[in-house]
Amino acid sequence: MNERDIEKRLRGAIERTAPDGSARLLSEVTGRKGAVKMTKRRNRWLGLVAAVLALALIGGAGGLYYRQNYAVATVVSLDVNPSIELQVNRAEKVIACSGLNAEGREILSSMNGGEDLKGSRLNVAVNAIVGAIVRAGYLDSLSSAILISVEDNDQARGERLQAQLVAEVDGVLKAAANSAGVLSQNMTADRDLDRQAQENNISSGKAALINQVIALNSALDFAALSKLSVEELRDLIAIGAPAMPIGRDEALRRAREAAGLADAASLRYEVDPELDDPTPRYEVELESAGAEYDYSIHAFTGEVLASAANIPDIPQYQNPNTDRLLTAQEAFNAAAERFHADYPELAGYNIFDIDTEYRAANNTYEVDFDVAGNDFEYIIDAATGEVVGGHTDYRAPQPDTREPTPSAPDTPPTQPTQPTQPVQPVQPDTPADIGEAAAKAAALQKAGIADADSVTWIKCQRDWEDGCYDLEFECGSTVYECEVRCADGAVTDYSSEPCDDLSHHHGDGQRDGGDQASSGDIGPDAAAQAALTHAGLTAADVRGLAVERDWEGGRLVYEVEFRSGVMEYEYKIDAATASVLEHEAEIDD
Amino acid sequence: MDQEELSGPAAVSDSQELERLIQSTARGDTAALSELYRRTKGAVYALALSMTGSAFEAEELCHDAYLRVWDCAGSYRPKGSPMAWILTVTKNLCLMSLRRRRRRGELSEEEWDAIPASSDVSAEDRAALQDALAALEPQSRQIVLLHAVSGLKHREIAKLLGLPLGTVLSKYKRAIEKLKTILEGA
Repeated sequence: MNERDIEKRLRGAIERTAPDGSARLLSEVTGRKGAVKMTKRRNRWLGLVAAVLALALIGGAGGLYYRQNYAVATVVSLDVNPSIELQVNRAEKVIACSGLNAEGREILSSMNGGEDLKGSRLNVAVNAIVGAIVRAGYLDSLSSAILISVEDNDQARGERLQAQLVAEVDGVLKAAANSAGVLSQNMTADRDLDRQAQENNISSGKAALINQVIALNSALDFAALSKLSVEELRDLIAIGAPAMPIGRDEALRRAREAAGLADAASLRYEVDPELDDPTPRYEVELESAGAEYDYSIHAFTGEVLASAANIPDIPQYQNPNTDRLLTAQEAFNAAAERFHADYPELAGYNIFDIDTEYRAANNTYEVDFDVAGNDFEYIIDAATGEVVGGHTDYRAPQPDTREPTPSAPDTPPTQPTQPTQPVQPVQPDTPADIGEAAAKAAALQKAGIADADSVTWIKCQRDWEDGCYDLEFECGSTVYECEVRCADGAVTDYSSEPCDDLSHHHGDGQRDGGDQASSGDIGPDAAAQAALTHAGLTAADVRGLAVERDWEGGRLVYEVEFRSGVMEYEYKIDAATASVLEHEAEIDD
Repeated sequence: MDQEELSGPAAVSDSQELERLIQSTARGDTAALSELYRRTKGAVYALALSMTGSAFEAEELCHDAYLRVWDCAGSYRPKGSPMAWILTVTKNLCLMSLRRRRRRGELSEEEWDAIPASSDVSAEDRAALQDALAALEPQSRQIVLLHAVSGLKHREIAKLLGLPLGTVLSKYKRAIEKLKTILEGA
């Protein structure tokens, strides 16, 4: 049995057992076509919206009631937690726009408090407002939702506007790759509802939603409910409104208190309600001084259900050439600063999936993140904070609009470049092909390597999917990746980064296999001892001690894990020197 | 043995055709979504399986991934790598799911039980593969599934998982050797 046989057997088994969910998928997306887009759990909401609508119609009116003597034909409200109301005339132009709560007013602050939207067409104004809400991060959570309420005594016009606005908001969210749910309702005027809305500084659409909650549990207080977001109200209805949730602010307060960050001056946080889960709760993420904390707070009792912390230390390794190392947070800040300078067109997008890894061998941080579906990587000098390398697969919409991430003058020849044109896929049967030798020559030329003999290792592979040669090679202390178009030899992608020893790339079986400690290998016992010593523990203090030998980035390392008390420890130990390369300790849930 | 030689479904999928399907999906074409699902389901499912270790969860995440593709197809920019985009969407959903599990304290010791019983796979073959994969540490298992089933290149796996290429290659080699030993002894 060879490698190919094993792969084939695995592939066959997984593919034959993979469930066919196409019918379910199509059923769900067909229900979402052209209107409200929901994930499966949000589909429950469709019925709830209908119920709210019925309630409003039975009641008879809405926020329009007090305005129908003026030129106002329609009142449109947008609720997330920011609540914003637009008054619209028969020509579908905005007459007035106001924030109904502090968050709503904050959103409108960049539009002169809503004054700038006066005279705009309704769809243009809604587009601007929802875009601002997205940029402010109110719809970042997968389960978040925006409620569009259209109040119009002309039911046909109301329905038409509702459909138009749902499509408009859907378009804004899609453009931002945002998956928040869009809920909508169409109502006619109701004096009582409007009074409730005015008294509590919310929209009449949200007031209708709150009345639906109170219909499930009359003990709940309207004013308290008005402080909740649309997402919380939706989830509360879904679970039968058994009690009053503590709310985001209280959940945040409790998490800060539990983390000892009640008085922290600089704090980033995110509170995500999960009221419709089996254990209703708020998920709170805190970040302060490079440390991250996760808390689960019970939605009704405020009890801390679970917690985790990731408190990175400055690595113990000290480069003899420097007396200072950046923290991971500082490295990320340096990368983010360069990113914002290089790609101003992406300023409106959030940075996701941040991964900062310290490379002791080069005294650098490798900072990776995702923006608008594109991967970005920056190599940061841990001593100076300078960007010394980088790579991205992002292609600018126009050619020649950006400079490549430059390399520092004292670093290996890093020349990551942006292709000026998107890579055009080439069909596998394309006759033109420069051949491997020419591809290698093009790659070396790009890297500025004149002497091919100085290349210690090179691998060239034709990629039939992209119509390119993928090359990886090593020269001196730098490893390069390069993509060369088969048809004309153009370099379509290129990156380089400093490395220590990548000799295992050459297929050095001696290094990849073997369990015996060899020369330069301290062995698993010494590795475990190094980790225990660093943690200030002895073998008698810990349980679940596990040591694994591994090659990583050309270096033999030991990964050591153990638990002690409520803490879980993970270490990476250099097998040659017993120095601690990485370590992490967190509360063992 | 050339480890970069591909035979997985992603490798044989035509990028241009996948891009066309995504563009049609963005216009609300459910037939295009259905075809996209048929062509890429195996790779997406294998990725979710490799990250969660649970057949049930992988099925749900696979479903959610295609809903996300449906919602966000309009924002996809053709770059010649539609499969990478779909897998990135899937990976992000998996990471969110894992974070939620971690917060709930649901992550226990790794229990690999991810090849469901099926009339299409013999009980012996399923048990053998199940045991063999269970013997791998989670990251090696993920690398093997991503290469063998999702059809990703080692370089793409390194990028997807944020690992050095050398680590991916060495883990893959050792995992295949281990699988070979177990399966031949089974």
